[in-house]
Amino acid sequence: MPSESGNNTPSPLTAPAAGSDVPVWLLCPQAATPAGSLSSKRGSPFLEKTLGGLAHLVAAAFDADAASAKDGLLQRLDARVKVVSLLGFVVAAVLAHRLTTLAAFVVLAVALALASRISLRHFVLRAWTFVPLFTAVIALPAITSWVSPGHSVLTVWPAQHLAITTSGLLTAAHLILRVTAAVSFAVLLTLCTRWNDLLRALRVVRVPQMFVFVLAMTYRYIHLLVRLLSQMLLARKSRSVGPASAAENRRFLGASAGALFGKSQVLSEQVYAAMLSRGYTGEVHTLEHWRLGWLDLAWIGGCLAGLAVLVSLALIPGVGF
Amino acid sequence: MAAPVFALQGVSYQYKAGVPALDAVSLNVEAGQRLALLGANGSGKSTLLMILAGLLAPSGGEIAAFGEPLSAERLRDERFARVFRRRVGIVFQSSDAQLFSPNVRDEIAFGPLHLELPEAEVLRRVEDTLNLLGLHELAERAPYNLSGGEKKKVALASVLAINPDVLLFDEPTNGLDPRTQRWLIELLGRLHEAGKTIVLATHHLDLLGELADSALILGEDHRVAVCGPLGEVLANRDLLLRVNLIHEHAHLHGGALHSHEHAHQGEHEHEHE
Repeated sequence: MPSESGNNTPSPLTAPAAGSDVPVWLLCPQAATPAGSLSSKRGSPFLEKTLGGLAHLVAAAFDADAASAKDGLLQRLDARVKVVSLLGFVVAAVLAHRLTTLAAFVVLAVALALASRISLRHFVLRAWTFVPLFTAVIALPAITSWVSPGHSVLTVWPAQHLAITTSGLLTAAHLILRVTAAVSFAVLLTLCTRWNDLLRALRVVRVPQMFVFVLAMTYRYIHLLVRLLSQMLLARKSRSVGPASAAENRRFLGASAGALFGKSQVLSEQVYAAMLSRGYTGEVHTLEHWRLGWLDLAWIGGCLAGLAVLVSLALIPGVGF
Repeated sequence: MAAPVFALQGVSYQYKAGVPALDAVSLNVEAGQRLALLGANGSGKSTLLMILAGLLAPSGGEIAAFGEPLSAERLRDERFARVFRRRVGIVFQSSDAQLFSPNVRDEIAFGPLHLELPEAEVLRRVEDTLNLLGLHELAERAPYNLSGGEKKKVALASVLAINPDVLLFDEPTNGLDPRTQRWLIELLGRLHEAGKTIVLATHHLDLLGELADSALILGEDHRVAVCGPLGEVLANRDLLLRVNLIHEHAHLHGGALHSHEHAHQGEHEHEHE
């Protein structure tokens, strides 16, 4: 604790080692003009990018928290009902064969997002950017005549008889729509459910306790570790000028990974102790009332009706869904 | 006479074999006492608090809480653990370690819920604690997004909601602005008047007069250097210097320790009392 001057402010100092005189250079003022030549180098792009990435992660968590706190359709549903029904939608989307059914599922997901007051932009960014695009890349070979022979729409390489075929396009459309629908429902579930409720609901549907516990701890730690990491990066930024070499960056990354690992271990022990001291014995309790309202019942009714339609379509020979 | 809240006989603790964190600590804490644990960095204050809270089991020695032996084995008995955890609350030095729930309201409810209080009582306590600490506006916020002072308040709220008879604090005033510090000191005073036992580890010698009436000093050898009434302990300047707790320019003025800044420009004569 620094001593405050002049006014007899009580502030006992912890004793430094005897005879540790402040070196003379530490008492000299810093020259205001740069010692070397002026350079136009900016800060390390590695640092900037990593810091930006971390900030983005925190912002995404804020968005998710905000979405689950809105007063929309899915947010009002009981978490158990939501987990079971949305997982049911995912299974149905995976089993569906008809393009129209798959398209209907995607439309349903968008309608649910809107009814849950999630901005379309937010939803599309979360659900449709990474996984469906990645699937599209995987499905790329399937649209060609090499993989899916059939009526050709566009000839790409006449010499090798490589063309885009209708059957190929249909296969790719099935795959992409199926993945899009499944991911959309999963994203809706996580966006519209508070984290603790989701965990509790997973327990209700018999997901093992240890799995749920590990998930919970992971989420709790991510925020703290992100903050620790960004502090380490800022501390480095405050002491460095210009971009660092790749070797330096590698060394720094290795060292910070080690430091983070050590810190997170200490932290995990403290968190566990803090939980124990407040009565944790392995079972998580939350304040929520688990009571089914009329909305839940209506929702369950709607889902059952949908299920009945799908099952009857599946049972009619030659129709399916 | 009622059994002491804590009775420790020759308690030792080692984090690693051969590196003691506490060595042969004997101590009695009576009900209603306000005890300050003092010592230089790394002397074992936090470890001692963790042992008192039943979170670390001593490597050697005996510890009894409320007249009953306290051990890892006893704490595995859920009924015993529930009673003990309801009676002893600890506020950690790192608020981040203590705040793990999705929002402030859940954080405060965590203790009462897990200690199996009736739900109506849990709700009442959460509301009252939010009011007491002025946290209503933060109730739905995630604790990890709060400022340092706010986190400390939530950490305190999460323990107060359990209404423990014994409150253990690790550096309670650290990281608080002067106004919040003052507020906390007054709150602890009121809790003391209500009969709570308070044990706190601190470096803030200047605030001690308001926080404690007795003190235990751990030396850098991790043993008890002295334990007694606060005034007597703080008056022993040689001892405080020996355990590296104070600077040689610290003075005792009217029962409170002060230190003055000294400008060492050129030679000067200076006398210490």
